[in-house]
Amino acid sequence: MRAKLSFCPSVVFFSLGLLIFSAGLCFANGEIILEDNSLLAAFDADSGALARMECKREHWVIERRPELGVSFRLFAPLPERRYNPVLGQKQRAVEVKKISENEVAFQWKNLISENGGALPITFTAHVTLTNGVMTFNATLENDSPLTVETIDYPYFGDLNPPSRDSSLQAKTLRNNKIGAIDSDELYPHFRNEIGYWGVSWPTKTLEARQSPVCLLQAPDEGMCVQVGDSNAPYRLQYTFEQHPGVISSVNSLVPRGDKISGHTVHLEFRLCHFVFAPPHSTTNLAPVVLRCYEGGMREGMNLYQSRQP
Amino acid sequence: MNLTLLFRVLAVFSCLSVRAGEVSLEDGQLAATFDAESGALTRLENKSTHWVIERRPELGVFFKLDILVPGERDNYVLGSKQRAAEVEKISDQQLRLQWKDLKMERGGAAPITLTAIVSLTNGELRFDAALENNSPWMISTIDYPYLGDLSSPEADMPLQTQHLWYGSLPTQDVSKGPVIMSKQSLFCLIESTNQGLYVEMRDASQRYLLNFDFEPRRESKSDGKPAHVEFHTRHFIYAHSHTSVTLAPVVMRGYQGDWHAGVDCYKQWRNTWFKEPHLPDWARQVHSWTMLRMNTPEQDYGVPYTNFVSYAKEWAANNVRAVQVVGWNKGGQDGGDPTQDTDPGLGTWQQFHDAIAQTQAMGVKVILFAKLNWADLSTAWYSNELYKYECADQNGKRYEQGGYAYVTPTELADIGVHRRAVMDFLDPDYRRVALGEFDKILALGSGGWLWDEVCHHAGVLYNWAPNHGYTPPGYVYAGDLPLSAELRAAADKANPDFLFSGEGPQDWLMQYYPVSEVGVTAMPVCQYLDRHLLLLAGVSGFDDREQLNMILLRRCVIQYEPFLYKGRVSDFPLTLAYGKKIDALRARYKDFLWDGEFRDTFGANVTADGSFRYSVFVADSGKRAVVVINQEFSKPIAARVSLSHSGQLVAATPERPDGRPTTGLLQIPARSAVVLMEK
Repeated sequence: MRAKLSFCPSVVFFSLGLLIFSAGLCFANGEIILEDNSLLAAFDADSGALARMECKREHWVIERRPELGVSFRLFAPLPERRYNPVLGQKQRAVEVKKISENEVAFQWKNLISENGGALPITFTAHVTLTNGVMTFNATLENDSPLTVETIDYPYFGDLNPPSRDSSLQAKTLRNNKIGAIDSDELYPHFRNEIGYWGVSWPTKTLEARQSPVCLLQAPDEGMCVQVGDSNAPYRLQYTFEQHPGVISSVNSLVPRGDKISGHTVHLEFRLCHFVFAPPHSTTNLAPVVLRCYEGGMREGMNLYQSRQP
Repeated sequence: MNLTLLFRVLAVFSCLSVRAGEVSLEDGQLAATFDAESGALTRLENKSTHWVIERRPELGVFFKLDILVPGERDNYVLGSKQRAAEVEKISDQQLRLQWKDLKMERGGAAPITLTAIVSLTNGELRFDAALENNSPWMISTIDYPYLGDLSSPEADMPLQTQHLWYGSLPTQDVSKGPVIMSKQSLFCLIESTNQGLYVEMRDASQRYLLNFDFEPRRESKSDGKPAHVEFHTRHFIYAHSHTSVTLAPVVMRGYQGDWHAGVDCYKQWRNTWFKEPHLPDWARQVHSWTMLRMNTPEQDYGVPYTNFVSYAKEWAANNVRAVQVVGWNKGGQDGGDPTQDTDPGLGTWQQFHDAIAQTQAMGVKVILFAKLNWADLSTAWYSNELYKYECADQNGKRYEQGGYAYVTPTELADIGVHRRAVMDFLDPDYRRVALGEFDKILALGSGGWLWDEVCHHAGVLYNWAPNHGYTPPGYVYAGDLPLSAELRAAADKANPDFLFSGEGPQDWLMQYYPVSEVGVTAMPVCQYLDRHLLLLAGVSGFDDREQLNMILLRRCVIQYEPFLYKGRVSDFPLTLAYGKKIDALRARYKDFLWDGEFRDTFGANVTADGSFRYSVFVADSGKRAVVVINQEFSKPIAARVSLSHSGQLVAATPERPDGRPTTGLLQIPARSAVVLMEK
């Protein structure tokens, strides 16, 4: 049955305005978008997952495939079974709301854990984009009887180099010294740096206490990932995970296509917060700040130094 | 003849007088000279190559002792400050030396007698010795023999040392002062360009630790000594007061060539004592393994027992003949050790037993992963019982092994990892515990087991804890062979074909563990040493032709490890397909590629216009095969293989296994292999 529509000029005006405003807020294809001249980030309106991200000036689509987007992950061991992850992919956000031109609010409640059922845990996040600076703030309210040991947030499910023929490295400080930089190749080679017995995919973890900054450095551009609280009261790691693996264990080459033998090829990148949040506690996560830049490692480190927390 | 009797007989026949100043032993290959007063080794020369190995007489030393006087650590006895009671040439090939009432560096003399016999026979210089400790103190170590001035063949020609470890031959720069331990290798090579000195501990029983020690010394103004490098073998004998100890003989030989020639020296001696272990028939055939983990200490329970057979169907369908099952036991991989109970989180004992039986009925042998070295500190069993068998240091403090991290971010960040106490294999009570756990593996009916970390005891060398059935300290590695023998005997009662395999067992342990999981090592020394050993090499890439080509080249056994051994073989069909082709090729040319003698690069000359490797196999018929692999990722290469005095040659590849006539000029596509064979 078609609804009978009555037109009121003021309502029409308001609705039109709302439509225009919504378009400005960039709802599209079930996504909520934050965008400025430098960065574009799209979040899935249902799951809250980071679905796409682009460094606009550099035309670098750094998070590419929405279907690989992830919102977060946490681990809450059970008394009788330690392995009890909460996977963001299996949660539905109770709120994904653009609360201003440059800010999106997220909330997930009553999280479904893999082996312990629903847990009275609320995870709330705010993402802001201001002058090319994207900041991820989050709070964990743990009303469960379990300790939440770790939270992975933000979470890139599909980190990409600028192109297939490009390269990508993680650059971090050694012992917090600007002049001493460690490099870890992410693409086209990805070497496993964790005991292979303990992981299913080649993995690297880098310590934020050694380096509050991690540059995702391509040849001519990069993304500066920075822990926005120099006094974070817990340990943080930058974690990279190459799925499903490499072509050969001899050369550690990453498959060039989107698929190999039916498996999706993708590089995950996340910040792991070792919060050890006890039962019935609230924990504010250290903010994580992202910025795109043109140039090499020097430009990236200059950017970091210009905006240290 | 025991050594004491030998010394007495030799003393009776000690008829040759000592020349003033020096005494020498010499044959066509080696010349060794000793100071007639101190007994110091003052000169050693490889006559075949004119390498003066020990050069400056003034730097000569013969031995050094360390006496443990309470309250006075490092109370040394320096051979250079002793006067020998006897230096007698007792035959053309033998010298007898004796030192008595040794002067200690901290003052006084100790009623200790060191008697040594040095023999030179066919280029083999052998040092025997016996120590009588009539002092009230324990003697911890004796350094003997002792080269006080290890020299290069030519100035500015560096020396390197190599030893056998974990299926390879690690190389170290002598100038950096490396220490090589007999817990890893019974020999070391001291190598220069195209020649070397082979030094061996001639005792494969591991009754005590011996270090091959290199000690670079800077120029010293205080004693006027120039910069030099000392080399000695340090025997950790821990001789109690009023005891006698016969030292393990030390043998030196010169050789010409590279490490292969050095390892040939070891091979000759090894042939006199190494007992070839039994391999069941299925393991003698060309075959491949896979590996699967069921659970970890983080209790992820990835593969319940009832799911096991679904994996097995894939293995059987793809001609995989053995599966190494990890984390099947209570506590998961590296949790709960040393228990070999099944884990209720994975299912029941009966379910697993039946799954094993069904899997093996499909032609896939189940090899159960286990560790008996450690006791998980988090278990009640440790707290209630196993602590009694743990190794402790001189201060009574427990030694620990740090554990391994699994799955969760917390463990992967080394938080909450299960630490383990180190069990003492010398303790007969612990060996009974270990045997009891091993019986549980046998009861499950598997075709074999793989003892992971069989090759070490973490940081423990000696146990000092009392009440372990012997007077401490005890050399924990000395328990490896007795325990292995007991385990083998238990297995033989149940099933003589029960396969023993281990992670990188030392060469002497390979008498019990003929299958070694070491991967493709930098140096193919095990293959070169013994054609009957099986070396497992994991393959985990999704199109891993590079690793599979190396496995063909090095005659390893394929062990498929999809998703780092957490997946199914069907997860990486490209790798599986190429692996099957390689095994089919090896089955077809088994005489060369599986049963033949591995000669590494000896016996052929290969050149190519790109990155390549090759190896040579010799069949029992004497015919040769050469495997050449193209290591270029995207570029074909042209290779020329030259075999001296070869007849007709054929070439085959995994993709084209029919042998086709060839002149030895091969076109090899990128990431591919060719086998050239004498027809």
